[in-house]
Amino acid sequence: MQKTLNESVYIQLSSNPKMATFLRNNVHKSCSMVGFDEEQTDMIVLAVDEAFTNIIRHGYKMDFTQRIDIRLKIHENKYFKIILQDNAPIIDKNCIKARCLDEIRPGGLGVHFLYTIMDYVEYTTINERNALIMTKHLPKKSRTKRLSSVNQQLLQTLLDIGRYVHQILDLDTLLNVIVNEVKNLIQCESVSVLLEDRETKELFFHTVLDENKEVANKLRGLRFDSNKGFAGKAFASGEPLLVRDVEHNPEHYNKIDEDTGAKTSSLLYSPLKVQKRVIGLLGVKNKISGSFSEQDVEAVTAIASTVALSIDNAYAHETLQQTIPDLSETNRIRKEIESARLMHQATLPQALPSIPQLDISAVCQPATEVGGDYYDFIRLNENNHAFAVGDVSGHGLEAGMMVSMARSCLYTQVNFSNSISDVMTAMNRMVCGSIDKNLMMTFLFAVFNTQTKVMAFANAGHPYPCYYQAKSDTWQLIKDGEFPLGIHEEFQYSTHRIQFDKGDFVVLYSDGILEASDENKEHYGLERLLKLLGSKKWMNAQEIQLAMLRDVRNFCESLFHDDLTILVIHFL
Amino acid sequence: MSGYFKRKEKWHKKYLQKDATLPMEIKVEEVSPQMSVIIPQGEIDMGSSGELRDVLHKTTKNKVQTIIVSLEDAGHIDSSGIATLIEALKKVEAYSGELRVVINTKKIFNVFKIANLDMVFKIYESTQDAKNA
Repeated sequence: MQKTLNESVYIQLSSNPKMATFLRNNVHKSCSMVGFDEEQTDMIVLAVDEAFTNIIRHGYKMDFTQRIDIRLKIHENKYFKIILQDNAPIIDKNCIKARCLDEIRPGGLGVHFLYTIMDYVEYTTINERNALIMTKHLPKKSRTKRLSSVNQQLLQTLLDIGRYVHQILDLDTLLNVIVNEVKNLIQCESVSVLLEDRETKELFFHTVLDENKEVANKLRGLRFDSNKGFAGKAFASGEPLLVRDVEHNPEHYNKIDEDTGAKTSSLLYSPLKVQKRVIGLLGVKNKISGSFSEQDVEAVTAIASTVALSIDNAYAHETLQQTIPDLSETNRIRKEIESARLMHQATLPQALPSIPQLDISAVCQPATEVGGDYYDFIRLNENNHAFAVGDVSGHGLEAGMMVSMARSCLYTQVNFSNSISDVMTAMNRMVCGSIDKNLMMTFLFAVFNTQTKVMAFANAGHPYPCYYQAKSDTWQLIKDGEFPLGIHEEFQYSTHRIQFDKGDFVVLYSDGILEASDENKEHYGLERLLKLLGSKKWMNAQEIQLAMLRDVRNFCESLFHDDLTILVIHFL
Repeated sequence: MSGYFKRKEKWHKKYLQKDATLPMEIKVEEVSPQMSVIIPQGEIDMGSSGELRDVLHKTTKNKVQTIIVSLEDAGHIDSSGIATLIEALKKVEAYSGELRVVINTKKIFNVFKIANLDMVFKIYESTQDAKNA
């Protein structure tokens, strides 16, 4: 499946003025890429900025915890449209007026900017939400000469990264996803994020993706003086640095290569800047074919600014959590729900396990409130590894608590039970015994043996896993399973077995995927999922996971609300 | 849950100490009791214009005769920044003082232009020009 530019871009931000910098940067990039000149780009950025802050000020009355959706799209190859949507009370559009310019006073200026800069401005409602639609004619030259494919790919990558920034709260996961995108875009052997440890004046490898996993493992966490080698040079200068022939360059700091067994022929560093301060570097190494081009430098630099912002963003999110004043009961409750949500996040695995012969990728994104989704990995012994995926009916604190209880029950059971059906029986009793009798939980528990390559599993009402058999090159559903936990206390769940081979995939997911719906209330559904999975040959687990997220998100557009779990296992 | 919080805490302590989400820094140079130069560093938007407002308020309260606001180091200004300047201008004019604005980029100048304020403010290309005027 060719990566195509879906000519619509979607960014979701919290209604925090701190997000304005991020928004401005992304709109700036999008505008210059679709062909606006510098001056027009600056003006459009200003207009979007004004629209964004107006919503915070007048729509949300300075409540920084709400949400604003921004969509940028090219319409009929002639117009560039920017649509901002919010959940504030529906506004009376007659109230919105640009100020009279004869009178010199502050206020009303922002709206005047919108009307002056854009060709059309319309306040309306879409799906009972406020929508501000701003339209600007595309510059003539860009209408005939469309984006070059390289630019298109870069733009898509940048925008994808922009979305991840707001959907993945955990910085480590986020950076891992970003380096993967960079590697796909630049086609190089290695990508890394280096950060400065300000106490020791050292740089260290925070996130590394390398063709050679051993090298990546050695590099991760490796430290060196922040003035050493090309990295040091780029770090000190704050400018991108491209070195095409590293080996014969006397400035090369080859201790790192010696220590890790890596080989560096060419490299490219771009500084990560927060405001004017350099906090680290985004580095790419050894282009797979040919050498790094100026376009690569441009791409890495553009992505570096997003990476720096996402780090800053992670920090902004953090401080926001700490500084929400306890103004009212609602705020207090919101804060508690937020802690419950973080607690739920914390019940999920912090890192993916490294299991021989398995390549695993997982994502679990609970909705804005506390989610009922759950997944886990448990190492049973050297050859046996357990996976669990579950979903408690409903959301909110009770669902969140049930997830915590299920987790502790599972951890106890795997130590004491002899069989999968024992684990299921115990889990079922636990859910049946819960205070809320209406609570149910779908649960899939699987044990994979790395020696025999057999996966034994029981499925209590969880959506059927998708299974790819490499031998026959087909995707199918594993339809073995019974009803959810919490329905019948004495029920005996049966165990099923599947023999795996090299190249096979298993995709587990929550019903959040199937039930994701678009503007017409149509569900994403199993059919679309299977169509997506069958659309190409997949190389690794993460590729599938990201493609699924992207596909569901494109399907739902602004109605997408993050409430889903995906777990992909690839048998090596 | 401790893992989640601990890691984050460690994270921002180490790499993003307090100055990372900088409240905007504003340099103030008191050339003489009659003249002050105010130089905001960074982007002036809804999140930071309040600080500029505070500094300007202090300066106008002391009735400094000539106030120079240099936007040479400001990468961006939005309507809230402009509004802050208008407010200051009115105060300065009330005591017959003077507000001069230094703009050295087209980007910032254009914002004044679409606000139709390029003729209202006294605009100079460099701080030195503004001082000598």
